[in-house]
Amino acid sequence: MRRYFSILIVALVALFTATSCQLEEGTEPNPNRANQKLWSRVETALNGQYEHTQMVAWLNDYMLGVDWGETYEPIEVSEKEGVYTLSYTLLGDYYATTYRINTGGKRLNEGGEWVVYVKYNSYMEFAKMGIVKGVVGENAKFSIESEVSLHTPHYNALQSEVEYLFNDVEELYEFTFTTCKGLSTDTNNASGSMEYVIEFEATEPLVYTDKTLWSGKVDIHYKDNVAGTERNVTAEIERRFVTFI
Amino acid sequence: MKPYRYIVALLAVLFVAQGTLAQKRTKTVVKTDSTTVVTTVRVIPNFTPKHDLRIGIGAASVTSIFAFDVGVDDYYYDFRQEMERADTYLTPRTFVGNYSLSYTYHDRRWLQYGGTVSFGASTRWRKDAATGEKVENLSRYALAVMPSVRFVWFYREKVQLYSSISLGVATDFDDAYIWGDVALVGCSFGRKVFGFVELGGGMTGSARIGLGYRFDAGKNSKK
Repeated sequence: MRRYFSILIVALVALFTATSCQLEEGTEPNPNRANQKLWSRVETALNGQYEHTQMVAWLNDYMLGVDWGETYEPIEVSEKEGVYTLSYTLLGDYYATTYRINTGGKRLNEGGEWVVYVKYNSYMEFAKMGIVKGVVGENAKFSIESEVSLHTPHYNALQSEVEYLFNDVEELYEFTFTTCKGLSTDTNNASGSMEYVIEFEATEPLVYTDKTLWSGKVDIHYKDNVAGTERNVTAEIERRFVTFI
Repeated sequence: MKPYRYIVALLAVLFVAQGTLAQKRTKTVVKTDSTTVVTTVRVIPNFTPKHDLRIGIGAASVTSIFAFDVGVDDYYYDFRQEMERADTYLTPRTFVGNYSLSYTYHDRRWLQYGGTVSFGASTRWRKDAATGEKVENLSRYALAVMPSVRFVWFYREKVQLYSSISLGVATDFDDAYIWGDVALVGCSFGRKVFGFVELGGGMTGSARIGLGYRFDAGKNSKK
């Protein structure tokens, strides 16, 4: 009898040990996960464009004798025959980002067409970032076409019309992409083909305040060239918060 | 795995072991005219080689973490693959046990040798967020075939304490690996039909428990 009792105990303990052992948590269904991933990529591309834009605007004002003071990180600037070299290190960055801007000797409000090169590591070569075209008579309007990724491995291409002004009350610059459209993908796959493409276009002006995207609306179209699927979403930004429509 | 389960298992072993150990003692009472002398005599019968068959179940171990690729289901995807999976979610990865089947030949009082086959599994599915349907099976399985040696360092007819080591081939059905298993401390209790408990590590789990059956291999007895 004792033996059968022993066997019963062992069997019960075995069953107890074997059941309900969870090695890893599950994940929650999130209907916005795809939208958030798409927006993350678009926002990164937009922020890169914004960073280019700030440098262009900084140089534009510098050539006009307008000092930004402490509004932006300390920038080292040098000039030789109309070619400006601007270098700065963002807080938290290890390497300095350096822009080389060939102004052709013309300011933007004189109809200057600048060719911009950038490198964000000291060991890299300058890569052509894009073209900036000024508007004659305007100090604070220009268009910018960029075709390089900044701090990311992704390929981004954007075209924007930019206005900026100094907000005396807040004592900071506000940048507005009155128009903006772009494309984002990866080019580092072995085949060299674009397995997917994200196209986006601002349907309402994108306003950057205090270096943050404050408001605007962006239509995003995603196409998976491998699976043949597509997805559309509109991101609406209000007071920095993003909702998806 | 919650630690109190191991404690419960250990208590069960001790409970059973103390009862069977008690049976090993024979009380002999010698009476004389003026005094009574009580002695306890341990009876050690001659050893007969036996066949030893076991089936067991084991708790998760560090090996399980490797064998079942814990923690890798949502990594190593590029952006497109992540987008493909964005409308899905993962169920918890549930360990459903390491199951082992072993045969050893108990050749000498202190030595057994033979082989062990173990199978372990953990289950997980990727499900569609909208419909809840399973869209990808992420369950993992591990099968191992290992020659084994068991060293019995406490032998009684009904109780044995031992350690064992196994080394062989394990596969997750994609690749094969050299893998092993160790029982640092094992205890079996019972005569022909017996239970056993082991603590160790490897393919059969960190703590194992099971049932076995042993029977005489022949008439030849050994000391």
